[in-house]
Amino acid sequence: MYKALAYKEWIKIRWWAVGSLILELLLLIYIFTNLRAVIEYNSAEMIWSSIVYKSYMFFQSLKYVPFVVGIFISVAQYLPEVLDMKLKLTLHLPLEENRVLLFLNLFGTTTLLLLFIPLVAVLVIGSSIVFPSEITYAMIISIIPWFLSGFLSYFFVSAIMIEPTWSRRLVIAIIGYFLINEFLVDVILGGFIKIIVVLIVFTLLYNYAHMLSGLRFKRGSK
Amino acid sequence: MEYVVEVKNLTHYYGSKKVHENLNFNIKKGSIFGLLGKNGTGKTTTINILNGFLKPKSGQCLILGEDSYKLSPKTKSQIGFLIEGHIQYSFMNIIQIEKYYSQFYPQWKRDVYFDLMSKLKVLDNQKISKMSCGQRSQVTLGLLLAQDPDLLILDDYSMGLDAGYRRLFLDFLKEYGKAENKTIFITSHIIQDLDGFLDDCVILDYNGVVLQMPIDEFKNTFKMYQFNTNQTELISKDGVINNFEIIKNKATVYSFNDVENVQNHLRTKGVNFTDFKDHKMDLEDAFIGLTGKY
Repeated sequence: MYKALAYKEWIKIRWWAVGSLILELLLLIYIFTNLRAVIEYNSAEMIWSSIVYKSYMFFQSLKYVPFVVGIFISVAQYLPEVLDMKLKLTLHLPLEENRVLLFLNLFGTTTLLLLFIPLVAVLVIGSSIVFPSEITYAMIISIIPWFLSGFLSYFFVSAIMIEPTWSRRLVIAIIGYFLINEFLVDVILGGFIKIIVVLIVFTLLYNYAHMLSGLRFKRGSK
Repeated sequence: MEYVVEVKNLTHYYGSKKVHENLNFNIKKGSIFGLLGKNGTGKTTTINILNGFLKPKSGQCLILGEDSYKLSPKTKSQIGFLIEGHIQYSFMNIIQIEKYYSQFYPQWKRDVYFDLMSKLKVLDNQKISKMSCGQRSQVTLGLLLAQDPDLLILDDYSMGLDAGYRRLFLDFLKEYGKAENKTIFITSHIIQDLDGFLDDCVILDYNGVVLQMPIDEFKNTFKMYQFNTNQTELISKDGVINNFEIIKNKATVYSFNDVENVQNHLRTKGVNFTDFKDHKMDLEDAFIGLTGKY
């Protein structure tokens, strides 16, 4: 039965997922073309100096992409469910409602993981070829909050869409805005190192935000 | 189990607005039951409560013996649910949606669905969102019949359908319900279509239940009488007269009493009348007679 649910979710998101992949591919081409140009036209000392003293991040243009992809997947997955209250059809299936909501969330989260892992992998491999491991490590620490913001945007936008009352939608949107802002704040290269675990825990906690809205939808809250 | 649906003292409010207060009705297994009422009398609210999509303020609804707010997956598999407007996953086509739903219901009747689809002039890869409302109604009907549920809950099947598709929908349902001894709970705002279709009904108005009885009994016992009178101001609703209308000197009264009782009652009230006629009504006339035009 869950395989059938996954089938439905895939039909909804497939073109958005493909679109997100194309976006990521174009971004990678842009990042590495740009990096190549920087290496070609500047001396090694200058690049080092930019990285160490000016926190130059060759992957900076990646910053908002996970956030946007999170919104894409959430909208693709939940907008068709809330238009005309189709979520009722899903919750009427012969399955336990909490498990259905959890599965929908798990499907979206897994999709994001599958979209993000290749992007990170290419970045890490590309960085390892050009820079020493310390720079690559600092890059990983820097991009983790950006990717977490992608999961958060997915969780919050999903909760906003499922939530049946406008007042709570507004509250969720405000919390989401301020929280995601914290993940996207500008810091020096590798600057998130001390709070990275806290950010991950926060993200996991908000994973369940849409569950509460889903249960309120089920209860018919107005 | 004698009753498939049991509604006991159901009370629900939206804020301070009363929707139901102590609503009670039961639906017998194998019967076709109509919940009739004008817009805003709480039909969809009742459907939402019965399907567990709304928690009532108080009272209890039992569906196949289970509390409607806590239906188990097994019980949900025995309930076919039509959302008002024939809502389905419009991003799927007829092949995808069959493939999807068939995984959830072990007794899925694939042939029933594809027999119905073969009568539609739609392409296999045509999305449901690109279909007419009538075609969509046939897709939802096909899915419901293939699910083979014991209880069908249909919220305003008639919305957006022309007369042909409405008839088609009811003809299929009636045949299915009677042949398989299924229970059907239906709401509609087009009362005339349900004439000859329903076994039992509850009629709601803005103050609650105005009638609950077998449909034949309602049609046979509820009468419309028309007469001319100059004492129109003396006519009012009471224990004998359920409703009335006055146009100039012509009065129309609706009552569950026979001619003799109504005439005696009018005389007692001091109403003199001439040209007293007893009119036969169809279900829609009777519904309007009971609930009024406004």
